Amino acid sequence: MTEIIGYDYDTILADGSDNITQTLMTLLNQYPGMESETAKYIDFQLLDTVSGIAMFPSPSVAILTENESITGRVRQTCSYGFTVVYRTRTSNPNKERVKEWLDNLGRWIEKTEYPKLNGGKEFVKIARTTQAYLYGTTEDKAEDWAISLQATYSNEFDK
Amino acid sequence: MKLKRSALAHYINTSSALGGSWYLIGKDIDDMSVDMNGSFETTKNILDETSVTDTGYEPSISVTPYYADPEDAIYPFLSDLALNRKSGDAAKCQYMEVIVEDTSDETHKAWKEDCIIEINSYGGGTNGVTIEYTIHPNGNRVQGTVKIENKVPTWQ
Repeated sequence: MTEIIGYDYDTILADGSDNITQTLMTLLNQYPGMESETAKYIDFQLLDTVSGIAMFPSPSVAILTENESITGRVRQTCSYGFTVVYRTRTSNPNKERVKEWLDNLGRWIEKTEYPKLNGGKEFVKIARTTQAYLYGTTEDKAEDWAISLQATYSNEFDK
Repeated sequence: MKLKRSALAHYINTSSALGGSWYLIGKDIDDMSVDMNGSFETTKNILDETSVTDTGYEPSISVTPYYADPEDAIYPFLSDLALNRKSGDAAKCQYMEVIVEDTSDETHKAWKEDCIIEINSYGGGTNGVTIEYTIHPNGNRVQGTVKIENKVPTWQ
């Protein structure tokens, strides 16, 4: 298990925006597979009662490594975990297609060009940490399928 | 209070024009020292008296790693030396050390001297292309002061 040495709470910028979450949301919604879906948009932490696609970030951004050079320049490697959840009715006869759609999303995001970040941060890698799986069922007879991913980025600043 | 490591800064000036710009060494290096390579010989005579003969220092600074970045001011100089196998006059430049003992001071003590660059190796692993080199100070060392503004040092 990778050791965590701290947490990067500076993903929140001075104006209150969270550059990494916003950038990932924009990237996810560029997935070409969105065109074939009824839900034309991956929302942020919001699903309808029996349908929808949404991204849920992990509550903290971990700092995995930190090195300081002799010039006082600090370079961190940070990890931002997130999950994309696809909600569909239990009665949906094409549920295996939902799993396939999420797996294809994961494959696509690993190979696509990474967008730029602000504030000395840069994406290093975005990769799946699971294949698509059944996360759970709801009381309203809906199933949540999910795929977990991790965005690794570098963060540099002068101490 | 002890000085942070970043209080001792090392620069190279590869420009042949007077003044030139100083490139700060060390952005990917967490440990770098000036090896003094002193020559001290201790002898003992038949009277059990010890004497020390000192023939001085031959300092050198090993810079490793340097990750090649075409946007760095030093990159054309180093890549030319490495890839065109150049040495001698082509490898001459200037070296400067600045010690910031108090960040609130307007100027800081500095020393500059001629130097010759020796390329040790280039290539490296999957982290990036590295050009590893050694700085050999080559005389005309002078002490002075620098003013640092926006991280740019200017010899006073």
